[in-house]
Amino acid sequence: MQTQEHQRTNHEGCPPLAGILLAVSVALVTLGVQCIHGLPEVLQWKRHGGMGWTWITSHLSHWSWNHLAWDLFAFGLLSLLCLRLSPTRYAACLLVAAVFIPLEVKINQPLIESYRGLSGLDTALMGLLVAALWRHPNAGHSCSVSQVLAVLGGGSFLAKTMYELATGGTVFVSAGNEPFVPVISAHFVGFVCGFLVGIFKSMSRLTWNKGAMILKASLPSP
Amino acid sequence: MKAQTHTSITTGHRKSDAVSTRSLQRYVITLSLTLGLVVSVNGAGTLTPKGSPDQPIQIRDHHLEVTLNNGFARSEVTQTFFNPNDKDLEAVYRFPLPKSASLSEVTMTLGEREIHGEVVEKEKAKTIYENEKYAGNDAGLATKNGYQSFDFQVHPVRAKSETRLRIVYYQPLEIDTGIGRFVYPLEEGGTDDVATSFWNPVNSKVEGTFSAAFELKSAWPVANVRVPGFEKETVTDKLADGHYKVRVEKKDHSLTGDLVLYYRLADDLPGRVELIPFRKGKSGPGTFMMVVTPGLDLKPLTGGADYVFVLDTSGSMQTKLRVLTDGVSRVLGKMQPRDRYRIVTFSTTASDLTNGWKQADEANVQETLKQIAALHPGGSTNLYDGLTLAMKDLDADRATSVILVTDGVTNTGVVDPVAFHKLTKSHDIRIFGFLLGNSANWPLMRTVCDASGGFYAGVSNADDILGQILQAKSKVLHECLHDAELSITGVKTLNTTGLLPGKIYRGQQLVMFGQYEGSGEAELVLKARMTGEDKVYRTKLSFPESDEANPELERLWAMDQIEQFELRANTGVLPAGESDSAIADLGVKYQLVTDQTSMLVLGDDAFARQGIERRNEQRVAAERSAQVTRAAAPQPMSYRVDSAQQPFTPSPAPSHSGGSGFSLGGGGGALSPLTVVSMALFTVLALGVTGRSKKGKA
Repeated sequence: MQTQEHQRTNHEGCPPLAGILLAVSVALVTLGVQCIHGLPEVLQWKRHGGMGWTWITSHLSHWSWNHLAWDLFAFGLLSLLCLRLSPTRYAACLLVAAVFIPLEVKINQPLIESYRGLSGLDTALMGLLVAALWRHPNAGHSCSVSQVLAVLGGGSFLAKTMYELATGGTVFVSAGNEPFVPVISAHFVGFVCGFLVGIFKSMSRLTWNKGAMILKASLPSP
Repeated sequence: MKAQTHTSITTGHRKSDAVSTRSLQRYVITLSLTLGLVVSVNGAGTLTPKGSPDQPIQIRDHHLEVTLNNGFARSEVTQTFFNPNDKDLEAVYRFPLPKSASLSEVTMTLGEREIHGEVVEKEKAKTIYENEKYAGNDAGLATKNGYQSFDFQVHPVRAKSETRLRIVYYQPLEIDTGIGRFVYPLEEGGTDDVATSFWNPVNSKVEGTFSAAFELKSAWPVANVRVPGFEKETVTDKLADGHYKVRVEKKDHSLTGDLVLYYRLADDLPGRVELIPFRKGKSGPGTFMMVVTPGLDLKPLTGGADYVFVLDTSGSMQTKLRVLTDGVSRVLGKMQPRDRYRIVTFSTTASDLTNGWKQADEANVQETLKQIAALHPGGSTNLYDGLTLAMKDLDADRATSVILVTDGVTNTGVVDPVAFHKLTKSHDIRIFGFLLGNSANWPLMRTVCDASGGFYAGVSNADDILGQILQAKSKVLHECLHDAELSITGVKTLNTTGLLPGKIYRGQQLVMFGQYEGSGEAELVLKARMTGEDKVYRTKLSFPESDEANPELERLWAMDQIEQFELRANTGVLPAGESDSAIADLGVKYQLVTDQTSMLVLGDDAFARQGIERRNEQRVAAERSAQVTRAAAPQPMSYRVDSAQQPFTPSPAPSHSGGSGFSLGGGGGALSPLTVVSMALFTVLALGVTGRSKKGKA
């Protein structure tokens, strides 16, 4: 049994044009921002004296080309698959995560004065991808390959992030040569935002379709 | 006379090439800095000389008890050693010297017998100790080894027996930007080449229990207390807003790292003045410690400035170079494009890594970060050459700050402190020193930094290192009070220190010592210049006729005086002979172990036989009596002298999270190459799975 969205995706065979345009725009603007001297500083989120719109633009500014390169590469890859599997939720995922990540930094990271980077949105797309795999058409079976992959991918990411949050350190990255402090919780919030955008929409569809199988396919086991 | 074998117990030198797993538990930033760092740790422990057939002395247990109250800390260390050999040994125990610590008590327990220490002139103490030793008597000797360590000789440690050593020392506390920090140094700084060549690798394992008990009593509310690296072993009891008890206990612990206690005061506390007096009776001068915590609205520096980073890359920096490069990277990343910088490295000789000034734009910073990351330690330490090179090509139209990072052991080229003082005075610059490790030459660093109007800060490997560096950075990158001068009128004060700070930096707390005659109302005045304007701050204070609550202040004042004599000798103001003589007098009078005095530990009969007056016994009795009284007090005593209605300074004191002081700076999500590759792999798998299912559907 498939959701309407999967039926449409499968039928269309390519993601909606709007999603592609959004992804390409984000990538180009991010590159452009980095090319203009001083612009990343203007667009970053700042705890004191920052404008409201920097909550969104902070994701498009980076601390260095190295910081940008890996973030953008991951953004491209994950966008490719999210637009294929879950195009209608792609924009919502980016928007929700873009708002909640700086909010989390503002509330829970009082020592961080400014924030930049696309990687929070990358992890939101990762969350969306995991949700999309969980909801994939084959998921109607008791344990599909896509569900196993969703559990593996999501579990690994969450385990890594939870370990980092618990111990206070990063597993892979050391920003020793980068002029910023890694904000681990931004990844966690991004992932949760992406995952919830994917899952909750399915839940709402449950009430529309009143299909018990969709409930089984959409919600993770307790 | 029994034949004796000379074996030693000392802080040692343990080379371990394993990545420190304990660092994984540290605070987020410290951890991210230290992951991947190959650590070679020198720690406390027992040693035997190279070639000795004896088994190493075992450490049965190691206990630390610290009380932080009334602006100073009392640390009591008790260790039990066991001699597993079949013969008696003479033992030497060494531990790193805590900065400004006044070693005040040494007690040895040999079997059922307990013997105590008295301070006498160094040579006299050594002679008496040797005589007692050769007579077969119980004896101990505590000496100061420059700025590096205290040495304890114990004779004898009986075969197959335990010996307990108890030491007590006091040190003043400072709070920086609302953060109090106490360091119990255990990690040897790795700068004593002679010791390294003499001793076998250390046995640093505590066979029984390692424990540390802290009691913090603050008149101001404390928001948080923590011991980084010991989170799992720490039990914290909050008894009141400003009263905490913290206990750390660990089995099978190795004494390879420092223990650091942080406590964070609540936000938005007022700027304030606290006066802690001591006066026994009405005759003779009283002693005071005054702590000024300014609350001033010091703005960030917005104009472009020049920064010279002078980095020690000598061999002794082996274990610290990564910390150094990380710290410098952070500061470089926070510079403004209008700023300029140079990087000077020094070991046997100095070199200009950046080949002149660089504009602090991103391209230059990135290039420099790569150069810094490629630095390798080696060679000796020629600090003078490094500073000389740093002072070349200065632009008279731009403010220049020198950021000096070193373990401070200057052993090549010019080493005379007077020459350093002259060099610093010859240029209009500020020098900010960061001293890594416990064996750093902080007297020299103080000479250099004080002469320039800068400051210096010690950094332990157990610290939240990034926090320390950024805390200092916030001072460097903000305006400061200039030409600051404190004066006290109304009551005669004498032998004061710290009344002419010159510059006062953001978050900096001023700790002053002095004596006073008479009693009654007085006025404290701070005159300074801030952003070109003259500023005057005043408050009333009262010196009591009598106050016996804190007799330890006399030792702290005397230690401060001793450091001033050392500074004056280092800068050529006072001949070394006069300085040594004054230090010896103060050491004996106030019973402090200095470079000119040692603590002799003998039985009562031996002290009587040698004709040594029991001054320390009397002091210790008075101090213990006061400590019992203070411990019984339900609330910490407030010594604030200005009032909430008329505060000394107009703004709240800068705090850790108040947005007006310490912060971690910029943050961002960070995806490492490995994370991205994992994501890519996951994406490809997902693509394969979903593509296959689509084909299946088709």
